Amino acid sequence: MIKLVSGDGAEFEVEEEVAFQSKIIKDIVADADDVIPLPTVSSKVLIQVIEYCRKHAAVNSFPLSPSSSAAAAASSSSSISYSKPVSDPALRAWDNEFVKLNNSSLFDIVIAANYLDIEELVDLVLETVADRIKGKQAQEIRRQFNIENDFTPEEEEALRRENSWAFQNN
Amino acid sequence: MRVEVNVISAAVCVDSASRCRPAAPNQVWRRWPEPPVRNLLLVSWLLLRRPTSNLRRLCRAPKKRVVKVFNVTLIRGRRRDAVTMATGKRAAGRENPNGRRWEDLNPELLVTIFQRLGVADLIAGVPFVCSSWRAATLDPLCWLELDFRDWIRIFQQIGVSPSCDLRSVFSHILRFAVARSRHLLKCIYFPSFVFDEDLFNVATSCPRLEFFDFPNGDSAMEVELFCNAITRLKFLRGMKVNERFIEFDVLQHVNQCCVHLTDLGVFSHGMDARMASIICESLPSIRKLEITDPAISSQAIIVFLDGLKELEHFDISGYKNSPITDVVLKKALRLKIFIWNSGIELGEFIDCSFCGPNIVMKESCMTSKSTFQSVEDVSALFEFHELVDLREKHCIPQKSCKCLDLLDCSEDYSLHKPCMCMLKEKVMEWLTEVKNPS
Repeated sequence: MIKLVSGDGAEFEVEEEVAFQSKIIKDIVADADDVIPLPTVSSKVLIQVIEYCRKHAAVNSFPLSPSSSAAAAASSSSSISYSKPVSDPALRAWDNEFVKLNNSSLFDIVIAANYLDIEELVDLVLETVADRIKGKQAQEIRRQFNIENDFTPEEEEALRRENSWAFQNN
Repeated sequence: MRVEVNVISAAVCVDSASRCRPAAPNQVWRRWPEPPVRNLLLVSWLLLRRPTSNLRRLCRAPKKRVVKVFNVTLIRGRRRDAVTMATGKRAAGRENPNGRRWEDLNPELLVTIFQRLGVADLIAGVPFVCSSWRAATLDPLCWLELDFRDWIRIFQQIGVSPSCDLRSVFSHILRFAVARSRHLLKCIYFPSFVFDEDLFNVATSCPRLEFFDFPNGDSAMEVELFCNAITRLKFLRGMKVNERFIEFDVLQHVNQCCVHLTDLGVFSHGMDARMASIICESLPSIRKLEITDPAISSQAIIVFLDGLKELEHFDISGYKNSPITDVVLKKALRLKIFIWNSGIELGEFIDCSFCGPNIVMKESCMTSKSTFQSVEDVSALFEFHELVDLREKHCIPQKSCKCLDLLDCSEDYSLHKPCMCMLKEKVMEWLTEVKNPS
């Protein structure tokens, strides 16, 4: 068992294979003791991350069946793909449920996952964020992600001029 | 090695001075009087807990050494993110949950997000959000794959007025996007109205192109221009072209110029045995073949299966006639992936008004080498082969779960729901039949 301590001091005991979903914890534990303080991760986020790791550790501990690897091969297109698709359909469905969170929770999770080096989780969250951005106007994106418009009107105008071929109204 | 020892002690100093948990690092210190190089990771991790300036002040370590170790930790991108996040901005974000956060996401993660967006989002959406997002869109990595297949939606989103000349707007957009990719473009899907010159221009300006999808079939034959374009694409791995380029000379030229070519797709109206044999003769090393063809003959399929020895992935989904015969299936046994799917064999399902485009069907209709052991199996499965993921056929209950899961989690599930029920029923029916042969 490995003890993870969140930024607000809460302790979480998790099995090794769960914690080892995070590459950085795996590296640290190889050398250090079993209590790992994670000062930048709050309990709320850590609970979510552990939940994810627990699920994925359980699934990954079985070797991939030939069928799921074939399915993965089929889903990869001839073009470049940026993330490995999660091959197990049940796990994919679970992941889809997992990321049904508001954007600010997703932000916390992606920062934590990136810090802990859990590649699959980072990919999953970024994929979700990309889906939420797709097809939206800048204003809508700002509202959804609570982003402040830091362009001056002149800058914005200059940006639009750059794309003038698209915005022309002839 | 001395440098590391210094830094470890520095880290321990910092940690002892910190209020939260002094015990752990002290233990660490006791355990490693002579730390190996990999412990740098732990050091970096400890350093993350306090800003550098604090560290220097607390341990009075020579500035240079600390910085040096920091350089080591900077090598891997993700760690660097952790550094910035752990020191300054992250803390601010936590104190003020409504403060600036998404705009402070580090550029690498932003680029990873933007890579998944389409051209329209990258041109008309994200750059206008805020300055840090705009800066991230300038990264060529966001622009390596350009997909113009859904050009109507893209033009709408960008705000192109319908009265514009589509061709000239497209070439503007294309030039803009190619410039943004710094001519490193890897993959491009052209819109349906593309001209040969567009392909030629892209080929000239982006020599590292690996895949193109070039659907144009209406313009006058300009095979020479096509060949000229191909000459420049030394790194081409795959292409999808109209049937008018399926000529022996052209493909021979392709074979000579693009030594890495393994994927071929053909838009055609009727793939016959003659055309198939041209492909087999001129491009014998094709591994993945995709033919979206309303009328492919079983003869042509057999020519492909006989002629292309290295074929692994064969996709002929989309035909409206019925070319799948026992012989075809028997020969297709050696393939890794064989996707076939048609209105004919799907029978009643295709007419279901809720079905729409049969994305679901396509996803679930692959079969693999291990699927069929004999021709008898093939005929037994003939009716439902599209619906069931039939691998591991010795293990029926699991198989059904797999199959249904596969159907369930496909994207447009809600749209297809009524159909899915019917599919499930059919599949279950079939499964019980196999279990208790009458």
